[in-house]
Amino acid sequence: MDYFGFEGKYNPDLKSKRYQSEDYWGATNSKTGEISYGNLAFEDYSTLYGIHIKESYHAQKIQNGLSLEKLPSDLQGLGMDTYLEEIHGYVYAYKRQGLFSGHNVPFSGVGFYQSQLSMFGVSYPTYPSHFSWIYKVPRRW
Amino acid sequence: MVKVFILTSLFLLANFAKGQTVDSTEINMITFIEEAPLFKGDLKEFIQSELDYPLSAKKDTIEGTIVISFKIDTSGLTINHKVAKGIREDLNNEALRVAKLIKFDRPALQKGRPIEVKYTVPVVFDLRHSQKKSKCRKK
Repeated sequence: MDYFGFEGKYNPDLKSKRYQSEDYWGATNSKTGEISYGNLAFEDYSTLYGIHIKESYHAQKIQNGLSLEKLPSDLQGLGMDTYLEEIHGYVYAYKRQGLFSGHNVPFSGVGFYQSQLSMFGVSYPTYPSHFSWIYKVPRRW
Repeated sequence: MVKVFILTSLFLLANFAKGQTVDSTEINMITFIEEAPLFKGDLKEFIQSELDYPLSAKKDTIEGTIVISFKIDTSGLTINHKVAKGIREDLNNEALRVAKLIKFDRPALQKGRPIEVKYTVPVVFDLRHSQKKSKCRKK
């Protein structure tokens, strides 16, 4: 990670209460903002960069003392507390795809969090539907 | 001397174990899923259509929303159903019964392989909705 100048560390053994799988792309600790990368992030440089952008979005907020996106109080503590923040992270990275074109970042994964929040009537951001190709035009910054 | 040694060891062991505990508020926001589990149709509608309002709750005019959590296994079946937020036993049991009927048409996928995920659904007990439903059934 130091070689590429990316914040975080390789931690293939990270587990979550919400799923059971041997692999993952990236993760951010909601308390410390520490970023971890799983095996799937290392498919190619573009994917690693994309995951770095998404996780850095969360990490910077935590490290700068900014509050993460919150669910209505009656839905807190049900295991979905980070879902809205996750969606915001996906949308943030989606709009920066030009920086890591040719990637294998699982953008469709946002559907899981969106479907969960829609069950409870919570509004959430979505990927831009019009002119979305603009975000995919390769760029350097 | 032996007693002192044992007590010291136990004290050190207890402190070590204490140091290993993980802060429960610490959660990992994790990117792990490629495709969400698929339920063909409207899951909310399915839940409401299967719901039988318990008579005891109807008599007491008890309404509200129960939250059920479960796992979707690698074949799309729902397992380990739990009441995450309940109201009272009769309603909780009915909500659990209906949640157990849910079967997803496709499990969550990671790199094209099925994976197990946790899912949460609301089960709404609404007396007005229930009356409308029973009227429809009578017809």
